[in-house]
Amino acid sequence: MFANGTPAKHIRINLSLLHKKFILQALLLIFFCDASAQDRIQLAAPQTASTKVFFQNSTCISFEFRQPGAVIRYALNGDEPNLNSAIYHEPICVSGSVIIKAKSFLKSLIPSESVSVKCIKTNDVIKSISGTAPREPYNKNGLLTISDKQPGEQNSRERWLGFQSDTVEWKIDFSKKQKLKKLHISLLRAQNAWIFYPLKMELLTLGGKTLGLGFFNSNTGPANDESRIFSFPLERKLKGVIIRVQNYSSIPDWHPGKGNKPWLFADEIAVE
Amino acid sequence: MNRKEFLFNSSILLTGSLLTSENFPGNKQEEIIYGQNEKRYKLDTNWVKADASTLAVNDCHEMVQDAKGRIVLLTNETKNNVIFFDKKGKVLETWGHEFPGAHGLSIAGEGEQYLYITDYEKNQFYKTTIDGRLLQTWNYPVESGKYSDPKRFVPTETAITKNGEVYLADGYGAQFIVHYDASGKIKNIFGGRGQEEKNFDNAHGICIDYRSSPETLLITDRTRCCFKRFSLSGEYIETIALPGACVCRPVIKGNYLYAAVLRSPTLDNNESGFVIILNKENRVVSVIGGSEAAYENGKLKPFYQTIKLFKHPHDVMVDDEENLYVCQWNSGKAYPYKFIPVA
Repeated sequence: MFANGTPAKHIRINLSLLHKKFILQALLLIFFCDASAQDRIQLAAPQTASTKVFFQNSTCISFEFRQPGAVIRYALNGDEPNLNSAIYHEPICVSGSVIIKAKSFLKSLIPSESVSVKCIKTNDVIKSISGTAPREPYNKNGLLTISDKQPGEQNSRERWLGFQSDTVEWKIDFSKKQKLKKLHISLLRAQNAWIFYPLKMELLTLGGKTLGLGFFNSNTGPANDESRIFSFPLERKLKGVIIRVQNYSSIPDWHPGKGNKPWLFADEIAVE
Repeated sequence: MNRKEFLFNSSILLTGSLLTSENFPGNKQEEIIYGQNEKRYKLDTNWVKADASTLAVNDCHEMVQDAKGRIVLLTNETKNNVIFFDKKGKVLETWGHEFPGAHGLSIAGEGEQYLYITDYEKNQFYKTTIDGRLLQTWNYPVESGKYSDPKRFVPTETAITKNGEVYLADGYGAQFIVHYDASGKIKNIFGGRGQEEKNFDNAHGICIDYRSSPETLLITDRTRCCFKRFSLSGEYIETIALPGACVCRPVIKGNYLYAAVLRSPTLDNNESGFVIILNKENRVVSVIGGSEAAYENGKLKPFYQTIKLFKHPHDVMVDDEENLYVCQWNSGKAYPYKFIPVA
């Protein structure tokens, strides 16, 4: 429904459906774990240098999995790879936006979960970004690096900018008024390091008219670290936009750091 | 919500792939061989002949084999800190209720054997008889001048020389290696937290390398994914880099060095461990549950988990028949796994 953080247009969330889907997954996991966890061992996912790539003309994505006998299978359309999917032999080169998913397969073992690489073809339209400045020590090279097409990695704090105010607001000027497809923003969640997704994120015109409003639902309990791209559909002519991010004012009560100020980590804003 | 609003799908609920029946073959799977080269194994996860109602464990921290061939497991479960198994997994006896932070287990002595246990909660370490009689207790080494607070001493491991001298690794504390003479008095102290080659950041394990001449110490620098070799008098000699492998204690059997890798590529990654085996030349010959060793210009490429065999492997032990045992920390109170070598 919201594969890879890209919301479909005009969608209302059916929370009961989400719950049913979760319950089904949980039951499957419990059943299979309980049935014979030790006899049913799963592979880990293939390795890749980055799970997000911003490029202008073309890009090539590499995977690696140094387990004798195992193969990597991949799909370019965002689907989960299966036994009929192409086997990876060499870097996959693409010239348009695409989601590449890859899994490891080895006879007798459960295939891995998929690793997903989001390749986003961007236009060099961002002229300037101004607004809330990142805080030390996560402010290396300043706010402009947020549109340098050099994303950070989940396991590293390099290239990430850290923000700690209740509201973060950036004004983004484009080089000219033009029709654009999507605006992407890449965020990090690392709760042990007090890095949380925000409460909500709003996209506005330069005149203050709301273009999109997104809510996050991930801070109600512990969640795995992840780096993820969130996307606003645009599909209209714009001279610039404002991104307004509402952070939690303090770390939630369930977390050991409760009451302290959480961090918002962003590494890239790109326009498609 | 109005038409412009939506919910970012940021919940963990939907981020993983759904496990479908396609992924779960109905028939029992073929026997899998783990590891590579001369160190390949079959797995027996049901080695221990006990269940939680009769044998409680918490974190299974370390294992040794005694002169009678018994497998000795140390857990921080105070119902039975020390558990003796035979090689078929039958529980022979247990003892110990006073080690809530039981972590490091070493065995020493010819003829009569002794156990050395470190406790990270009580900030002490101990020498006991094999059947559990307490012989000696060491508190924080205040006389070294390096410690002003007992709580900064959080010992993780010991290594014992043939003449009964003790090297203690303060791997969760101030990162010093404390050298005691056979009577228990401090002879030397070195290492400590820092960025230099001689320093540590999580000196989690230590052993005496009897393969080298003269004998040397191998000491874990876990967050930096390496072992460091020191002389017995505390001079730094070399670093054995194992990128991506947060190794626990070094274990030497024959010509090989074995180690459990708690997590990979850093200590921030849950349930990402494996086991690694090096030969005498410090080349990685086998990895169980992790990526096969790959050298580029003489340097190892980073390791990573390839098979979700373990959650948090914490120690390995090789018995007198070359069976490999792996015990785990924070792994659902799992009993140790046994790996049986294959030709």
